[in-house]
Amino acid sequence: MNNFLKEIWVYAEQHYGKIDKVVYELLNKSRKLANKLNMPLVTILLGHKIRKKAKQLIIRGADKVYVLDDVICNDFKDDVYANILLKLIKSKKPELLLFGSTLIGKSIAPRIAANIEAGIISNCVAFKLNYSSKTNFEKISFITTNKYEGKKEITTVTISKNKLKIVVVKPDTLIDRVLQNRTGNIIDIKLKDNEIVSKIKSLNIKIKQQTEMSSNIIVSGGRGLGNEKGFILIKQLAKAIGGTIGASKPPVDLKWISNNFLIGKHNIVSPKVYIACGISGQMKHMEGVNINNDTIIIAINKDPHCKIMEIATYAIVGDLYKIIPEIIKEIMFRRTNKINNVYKK
Amino acid sequence: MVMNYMLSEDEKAIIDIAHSVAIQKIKPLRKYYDEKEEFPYEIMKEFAKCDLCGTYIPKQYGGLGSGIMGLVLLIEELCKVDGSIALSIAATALGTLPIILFGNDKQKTKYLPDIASGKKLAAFGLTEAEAGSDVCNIKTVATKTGDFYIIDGIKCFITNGGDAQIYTVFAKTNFTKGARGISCFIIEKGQQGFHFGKKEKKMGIKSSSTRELIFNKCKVHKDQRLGKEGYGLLIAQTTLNNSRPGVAAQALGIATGAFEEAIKYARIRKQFGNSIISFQAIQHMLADMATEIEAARSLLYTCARTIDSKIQKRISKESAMVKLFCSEMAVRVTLNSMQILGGNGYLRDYPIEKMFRDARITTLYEGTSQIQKNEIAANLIREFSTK
Amino acid sequence: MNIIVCIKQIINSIINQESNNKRYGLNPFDEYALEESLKVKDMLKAKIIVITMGTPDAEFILRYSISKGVDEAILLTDNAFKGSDTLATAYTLFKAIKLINNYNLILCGKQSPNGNTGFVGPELAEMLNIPHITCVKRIKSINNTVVIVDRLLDIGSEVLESKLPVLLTITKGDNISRLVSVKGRILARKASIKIWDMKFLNMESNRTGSLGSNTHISKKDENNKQKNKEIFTGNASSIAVKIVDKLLENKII
Repeated sequence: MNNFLKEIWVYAEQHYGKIDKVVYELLNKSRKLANKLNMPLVTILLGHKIRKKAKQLIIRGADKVYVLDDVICNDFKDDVYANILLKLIKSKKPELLLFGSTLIGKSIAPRIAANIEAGIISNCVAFKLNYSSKTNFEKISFITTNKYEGKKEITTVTISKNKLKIVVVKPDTLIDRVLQNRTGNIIDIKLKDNEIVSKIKSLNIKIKQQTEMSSNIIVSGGRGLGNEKGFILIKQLAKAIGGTIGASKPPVDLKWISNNFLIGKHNIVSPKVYIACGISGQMKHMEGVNINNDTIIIAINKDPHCKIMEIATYAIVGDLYKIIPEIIKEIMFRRTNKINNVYKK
Repeated sequence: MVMNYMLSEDEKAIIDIAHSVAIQKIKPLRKYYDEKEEFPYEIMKEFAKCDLCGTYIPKQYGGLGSGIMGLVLLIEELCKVDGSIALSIAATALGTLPIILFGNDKQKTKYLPDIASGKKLAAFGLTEAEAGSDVCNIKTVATKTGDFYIIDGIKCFITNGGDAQIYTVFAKTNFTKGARGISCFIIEKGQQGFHFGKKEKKMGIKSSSTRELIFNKCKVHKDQRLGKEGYGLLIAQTTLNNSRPGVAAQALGIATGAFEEAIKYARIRKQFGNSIISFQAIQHMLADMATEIEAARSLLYTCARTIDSKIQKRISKESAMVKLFCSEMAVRVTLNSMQILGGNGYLRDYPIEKMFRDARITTLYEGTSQIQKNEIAANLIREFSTK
Repeated sequence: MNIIVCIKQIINSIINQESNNKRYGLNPFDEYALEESLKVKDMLKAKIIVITMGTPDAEFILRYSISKGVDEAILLTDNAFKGSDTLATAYTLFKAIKLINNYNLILCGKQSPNGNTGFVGPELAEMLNIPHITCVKRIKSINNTVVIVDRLLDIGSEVLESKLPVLLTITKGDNISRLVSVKGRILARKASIKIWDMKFLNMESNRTGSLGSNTHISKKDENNKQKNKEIFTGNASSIAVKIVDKLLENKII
């Protein structure tokens, strides 16, 4: 006999009054689950001057929001937040507690798990519901993924029956679906004085600049560009796709681009995606690109038989001056369409 | 890959640690030091931290006590990656061996611990402009006055010159006694009257400093003299007999490194639709190289063990053979390795050309190949004359 | 200062540079933790004990740690430990640390590659009832009462001060792991390792192994398919549509 409260709880992580994007995606995912299991979706929001943000959680699927608005929650302290959450969980006893996969989430969640001997899982990407026809008993299992030794492992994990289930969920597409007219309950909770004392003191905090460019995606240009104007296209594509630019030796020697962008034996890169435009793929250049099973190489070249077309994941045969502008156009088109789609539901 | 030479656990530890240092600390910087012709002080510090500076120094003076074998294994492993930086340790060993072999307890206690810990480097001061192969022709004098000697003269081609703190220097104390008129002195950097000349510009081993030692009325106490007066030539010859395996190890290491580059290249380089390693011409070259490298290694390890065991009274023939064979082999192997890399081997982008340049010195210093042959022949004649 | 470092062995598919042991190696994050503990020992008088829960092969990483300069090594091994989830593992380490009793600082690697959870550290801290800080890039300073660290946040980084005892999980910082010295290697070979089993730790069998685990793996699949190579030809705008589909499919944009 299970004396858990049939509710799905989601921890709403926030920093300086701004709710983390992973929470919104998590709410979307758990909303679907809550509908299937016919359980209310509850979120916990801890912070200072945070109450006004509770609505943001409701319009994204929360039925109930527990808000603790207190100056003690102003900056994050692992032990303070863990203790507050723990008290709440111990008094209400929800069955399922979800966290977004953030450094903070992964710090508090295990602390809670150890205190009440819950089952805790990380790297979850999907929920699976099993219905046993004999007993008509619902069982939920969690699909997790992990990259180990260059291989991707997909594991299905379950948690023991009478234990609280704590699951850390990996962000995926960062989709944010909003229903402006959704309603829900906001419940204020109060701390008793001297309840939570932290043993940790914050001395200084540095917030990093959000960079748009990531070296996870590199758009690289070679001799096939023909002239320095080709790099204008390369830069545009890099901007559209959210990556940085690179070059092989010929364009650098011909002074079409600075040698800061040269990729080769002496400047090795390890991007997730490498887009080689007008590059033939000679050993001298490709030595500079770390390629493993997961690397995606996209090659755009007139010559279908050159070396890079053999190793590319997606080999595009054609004139890059025609193809790259079309790709940029298509990416922009899809982006505006995506925003439109959000308001459709 | 290498034949099992039944090394002890301590010896395997030396190789393992040397390998780590070579890959993690030397390899990323070898090109830099070669191009800039700078002395690798930072890497010397890493050697010191890993206890690699005193492999051949007895335990009681702070070393590992692994003998010549320990030195050989260390130098070989380091030279697989870079034949020039490791030279700072090999040349220190050359400068230190006179103290180990002929020093009195006071001298050993004074100098060996700092060398073992890597705090100080040493150098061997024998060669002069007019005395290369012809060692007895040295002109540096050590004139005795009371308890001191005044040293005047110029030494040249001294490895570690200028960067070492401790120098074992050979000077003539008696011009009438010919070869028996040479003595050996331990002189420290900073001694009044002891300066350094220009740094030589070399074809290879560029990160190693090669300088002149200039002695101008350099006053040295008689306690700084190694062994008795007139013992100089004996000290020099005994030292060289013990140190030749070190040069051989350098040559062997460079050859091994070059061979590995060649075989790696041959596997990935494709011409006429196939990797070049599938061509018999290349395969035969590789087979020849691998065989001579292994033969050299066997000779070297056996010689080192024989020296350490002290089971043989005379080792000059064997150590000369080892130096002769390994150095000549290294010059051949680096040449052929470059041949396998073809045009690419000529480019500074690939490490082969440096290995080729570094290997070249091994047949020239610490006794040219011709001197080694003289030594071997002299021993053969002596051995067979009694039969 | 008494420091405990919790480490874990991983299966190496590449030859470990440090030795010819091809099968096992040390979790890279634990390597950072080890280096931090040695840096503290460089700064002030400290004793470092390293513990691992694993198979008897895990002795390798313990000896490796000794070669770097830790003072004592303890191996927790028992067939009953097999199948432990993070909580059961943390509990086992907890029992061992309780036996050691004397500690000011506990260091763990941020996470280990075969689970990538990063849970054991915080769980252990909770059981020991001490504070914890995750994702520490480096220990800035330490004395007998407090430690100041630089830790990573999703939004940047933060400098925190904590009272001792505290548990820190260590992530990659600017530190380069020190090399092993020959004397260290020889010492490690001769060192004696303490081996503790479930009985020695006075543990109930239902708190460890699969019996003591609340999470259970029901299925494990490997997905190492080679990405299918595709060639695109034809008119530029149709290529663009197809390739952007692929970009979306692979979650590149």
